[in-house]
Amino acid sequence: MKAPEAMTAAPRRRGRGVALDSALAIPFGDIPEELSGARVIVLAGPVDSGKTTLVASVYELLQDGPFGGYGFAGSRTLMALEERCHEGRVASGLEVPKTRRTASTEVGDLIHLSVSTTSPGGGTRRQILVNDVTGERFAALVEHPAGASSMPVLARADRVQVVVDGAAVFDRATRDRFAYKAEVLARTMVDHAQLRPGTLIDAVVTKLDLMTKRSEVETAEGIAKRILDRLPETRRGQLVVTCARSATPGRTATGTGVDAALALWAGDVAVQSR
Amino acid sequence: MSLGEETTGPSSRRRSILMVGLPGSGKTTYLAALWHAIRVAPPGSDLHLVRMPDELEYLNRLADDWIACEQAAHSSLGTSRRTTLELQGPGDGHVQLSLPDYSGETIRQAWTSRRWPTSFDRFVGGASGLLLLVHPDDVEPHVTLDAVEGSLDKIASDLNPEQPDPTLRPEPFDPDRAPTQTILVDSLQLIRSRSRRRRIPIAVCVSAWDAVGDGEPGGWLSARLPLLAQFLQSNADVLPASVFGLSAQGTAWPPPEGERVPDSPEDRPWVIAADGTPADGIAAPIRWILRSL
Repeated sequence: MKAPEAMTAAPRRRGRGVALDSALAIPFGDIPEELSGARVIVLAGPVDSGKTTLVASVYELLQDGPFGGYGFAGSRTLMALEERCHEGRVASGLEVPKTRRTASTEVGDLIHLSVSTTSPGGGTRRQILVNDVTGERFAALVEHPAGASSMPVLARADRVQVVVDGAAVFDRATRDRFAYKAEVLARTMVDHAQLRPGTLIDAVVTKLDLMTKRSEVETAEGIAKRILDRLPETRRGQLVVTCARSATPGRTATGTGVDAALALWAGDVAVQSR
Repeated sequence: MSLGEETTGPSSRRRSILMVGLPGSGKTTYLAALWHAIRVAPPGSDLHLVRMPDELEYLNRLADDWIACEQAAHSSLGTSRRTTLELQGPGDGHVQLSLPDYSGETIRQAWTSRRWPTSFDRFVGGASGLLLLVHPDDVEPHVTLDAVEGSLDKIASDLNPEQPDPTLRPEPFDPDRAPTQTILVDSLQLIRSRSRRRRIPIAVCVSAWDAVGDGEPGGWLSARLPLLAQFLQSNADVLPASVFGLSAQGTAWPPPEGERVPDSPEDRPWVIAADGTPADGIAAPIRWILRSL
């Protein structure tokens, strides 16, 4: 079993004292050796579709205790996680939670989470690196699919999760345009990204809390199902419906379905709990 | 010879225990109470003084404040007072126990500035074990807006029918306001990464336990610092941990009016184990670390 997140880099000696690990997101080219075997998850979706909120939600839920059968085992990117959670916290001074947009300079950066199974006799640590690439970058891929071949993070991905924005289902034109782009994006992954054999593509519906009617949920699930159905069987992953941060906690709990997404990140079979 | 020990003579082992915690977590008060307990422990007990240290100025000052139930002056950043005690350890001959009293700012600033003093780094590299102190009244929680919204939804809508302002600009992210448990996990990860040892036992001491009242220290940790509790449980193979609740003064600070304080200073401090059962005196966390090496 690997030791937790040991740093191997020699300390940088500049100014006073010893320089320590930054705790910021890890650039793709700088993945430390001890995380070379980590599972890499790429969240793919348009701007504001809920990619970063999903990552922040897993961390916020673990802040309250074990979640979805997993316990928190560490993170080399604690500062990056704290920063991504900031606008969903009271300390931000906001009245309505938001999630900080991923900056365009952070293309390819990875968030690290280590979790361990909490089942009796468990305790196996899983190292996960999540890539929250900017929405703009994925929008560009829909226009220029060949660009996926020059994204090394896709060649290293264990799962690519195409995000289906639950907020897009209310208006027919918006919904159909969104569905079209999501399908193109998923197919781009298959045809242009240098995915490894065995890398699966999931469809993750976000913002379940905004969907007040059963028909709206079914519409979102329908978009996600079509994305999966139109993929080659060898790439077809799972459908997960999530509420990473609920605006209506009385109706839909924060964390709904996030446990299933986390199980996929950790390499376990996801069981959708809704 | 096991990891974490160096011989200094035929029957003497050098152990260094790093005491860490955020400012005000009770490190200096614990050191004062520990010094007193070890000084008065009778020969034959499993952690007693073999030889009076060469230098006592700092310990005497701590003892003065502690005996008078006065708050000890906090250590300042970048300075440490290393206390080396020559002890008879629990069943394994002489122990040279080194306990530097580093400022809590060392840990807090490491979180924000990503640096710590070179002398601290050297000590971290060779530390055999850790004493992690947490003050129960000084836990900064993480409070999410949706959690507040959920619990206060009805009250808010009754009192303030106006809708929240979605155009409000957020305060800038301030790492100083990060949850206590995040900073503590970060410090343990940094210590682990800078250590030369594969396995580091950690005694987590919840100080001022008299102020907590009922309950068990293990349960308190899981309820109040769940991220830290999970981290320790998940890494028990390399960071074995035990939780203690301790009262280095034996009473609230200052003692409430009318509360009877034991006459003898050594009768004041007390420690309970993770499950709430009484532990063997104020040195119990040190004994646990020495036995766990």
